[in-house]
Amino acid sequence: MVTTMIMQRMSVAMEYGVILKWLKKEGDKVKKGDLVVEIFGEKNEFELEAPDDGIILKILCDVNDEIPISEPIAYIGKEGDAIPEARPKKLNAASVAPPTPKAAPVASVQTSTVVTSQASPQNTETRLPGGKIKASPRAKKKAKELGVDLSFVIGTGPEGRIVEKDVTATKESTPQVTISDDRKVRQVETMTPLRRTIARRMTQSALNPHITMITEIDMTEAVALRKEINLKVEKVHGIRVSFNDIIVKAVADTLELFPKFNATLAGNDLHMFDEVNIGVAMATDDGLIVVTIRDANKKSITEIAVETKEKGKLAKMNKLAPEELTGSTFTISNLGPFKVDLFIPVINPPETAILALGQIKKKPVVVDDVIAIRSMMMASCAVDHRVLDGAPAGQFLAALKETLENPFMMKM
Amino acid sequence: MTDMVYREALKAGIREEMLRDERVFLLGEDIGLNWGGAFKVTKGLAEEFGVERVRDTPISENTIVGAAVGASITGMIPVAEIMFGDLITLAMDQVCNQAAKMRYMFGGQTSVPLVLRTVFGGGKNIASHHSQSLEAWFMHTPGLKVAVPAFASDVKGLIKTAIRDPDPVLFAEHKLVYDKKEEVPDEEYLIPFGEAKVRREGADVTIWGTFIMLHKALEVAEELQKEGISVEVIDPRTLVPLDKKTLIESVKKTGRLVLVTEETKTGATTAEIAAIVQEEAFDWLDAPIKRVNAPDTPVPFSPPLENYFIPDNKRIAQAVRDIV
Repeated sequence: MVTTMIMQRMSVAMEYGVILKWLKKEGDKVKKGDLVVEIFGEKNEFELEAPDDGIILKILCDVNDEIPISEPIAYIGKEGDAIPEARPKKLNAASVAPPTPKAAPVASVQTSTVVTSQASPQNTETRLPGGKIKASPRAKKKAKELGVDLSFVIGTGPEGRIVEKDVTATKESTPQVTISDDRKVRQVETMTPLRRTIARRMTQSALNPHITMITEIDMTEAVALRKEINLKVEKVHGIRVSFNDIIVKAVADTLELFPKFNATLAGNDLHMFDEVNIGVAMATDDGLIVVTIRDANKKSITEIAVETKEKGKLAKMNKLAPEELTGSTFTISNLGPFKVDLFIPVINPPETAILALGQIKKKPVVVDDVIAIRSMMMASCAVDHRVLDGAPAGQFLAALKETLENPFMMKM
Repeated sequence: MTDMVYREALKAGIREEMLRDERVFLLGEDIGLNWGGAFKVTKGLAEEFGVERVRDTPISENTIVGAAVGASITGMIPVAEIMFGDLITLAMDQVCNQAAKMRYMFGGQTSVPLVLRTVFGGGKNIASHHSQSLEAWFMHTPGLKVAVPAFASDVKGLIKTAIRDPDPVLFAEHKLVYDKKEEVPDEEYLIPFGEAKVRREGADVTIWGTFIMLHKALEVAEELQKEGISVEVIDPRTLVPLDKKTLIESVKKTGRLVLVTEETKTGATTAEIAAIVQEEAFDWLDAPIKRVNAPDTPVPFSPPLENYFIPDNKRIAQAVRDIV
């Protein structure tokens, strides 16, 4: 008699368990109740017991495999017993996250090449070598008919292949838009490749759980600092340092202390970057692009200002090289120039966090129990809740606030 | 309708044609008086029609087919039997170089209305010389028609069509289907060549196969239905001419195909079918085409080994699950 050892439900909300460590190996004798394997279910670690006496005939899953409740994980029996054929479904066998689409050349948002190759294991199942999407001919045909972008589709077929029903499911989950006859269409504008890239990446990002922290930052000191810098910079470089440049510097310095905000989640691994490359979101006629200021933590405010102005000019003329648009590790989006007070951003994937800034406005605020007029700015920081929780997000925002409210303490 | 085993339905078809047309005669080893063939298909026919029309021959396959070819071009309609399909090798020249090519090489001045009955397949523990499935050889030979009936109701209609066909027909039977019972129409009927039969309708996977594998596939389909997998089962009934249309339409519906025959895998009929489907229905495939065949070895004599050699329900079911 072969007894099947299954992934047991150890808590109400547990849907699957992750194999942490096998305490027994194939061929080991066990008694009913012996601890056989350590697992992680929902929020805790557990040890699963042998359901029967016997020897471990076969172990069906490896460390780090994600096994749904009730799936077999091992067989226990007598020597020579035939091993049943049933094998567990492994959640990690098929990609559970949507694949990272390849950025179009104009797209602003991709990690550096080194990082991309590290991030690829997440997608090996739905991607063929060379990045081609693994989809059946029928799925490809269906996707064409329905106008579904396969890079949005999560493959559930054998070995993670995208099959027809995955395409239809994706289509059905996307709201159907039809133009009814009684409304006159003045003009139809096909989305540009950049627009489509933005659409795809933002949709992908929105699938991940965001949480957003909001604070108000007193920029009065930063206003003074800017004035002082610009007295010299304007003469030497012919440009003016913007608040944004000061904020880029402050964010870069703060990120040195918060490596998880300067990272990318690839599969189950969080890759934290050495470089602090700040993406500065900019509006162009065609849409949003993000220019990258590399190693911003090692540059002065003036250097950042000069570089940002130059790149912004080229970006608006569509003349930036792809490498100047990619490789950011954290993004800042500033809508202050548009008189926006506050907004809630969507993370620029595959980054883990983003900072959104509103306009700087003079406001009456209480300082030392006295009402004072101060230059205030609302800021919000959204983090990927898969990676980061509210507390670190709050700490990050508090540290940034501290830096910006005491800007003369920054390493210039 | 009468419940009838395959063997009886086949005999009934032959008998009807012998009654209808006196040019029809049978020849083969031990097919005649008292014995009625190794698988008893012709039992009683010698008694009914006489030894002139049901002729026992020496143990010489080359002679049997050679004589049948000669008789057929002089206007007779021979139904020759090769006791085991494996032994057709001894008559290969007559089958593939003579019978198959005469109409073409003589510019249509003669035809060879010959039926060559034989039996393929294992499962009887009678070793490598009596258990093979060699239908692909004849499918590969232009000029031959190849019938592969697997059910009693089909074999009767198909043998009658084969006997009336003006060209040589390799009429392949299978040892394990002789005893399979089915309702067979009482009235006369013919089944045209090149018309497959959908033995079971389904939505998720198409199984195409021949002979005993179809019977297994139907059992598997029933079993998988309980798992929520809906399987369509197609019997081609003839390999030449081949009904591509029914198969392609089915694949376009289900998007998945499992090919199941008892042949050794390399160069089997399943390989040809897989090639056809990817040529004609590539865009409809939702999964790679799966083949379930025997391994590329001689058929083993040892019963446990032979059991392993012949695809079973488990392997067929697994192939389906692998692609769903």
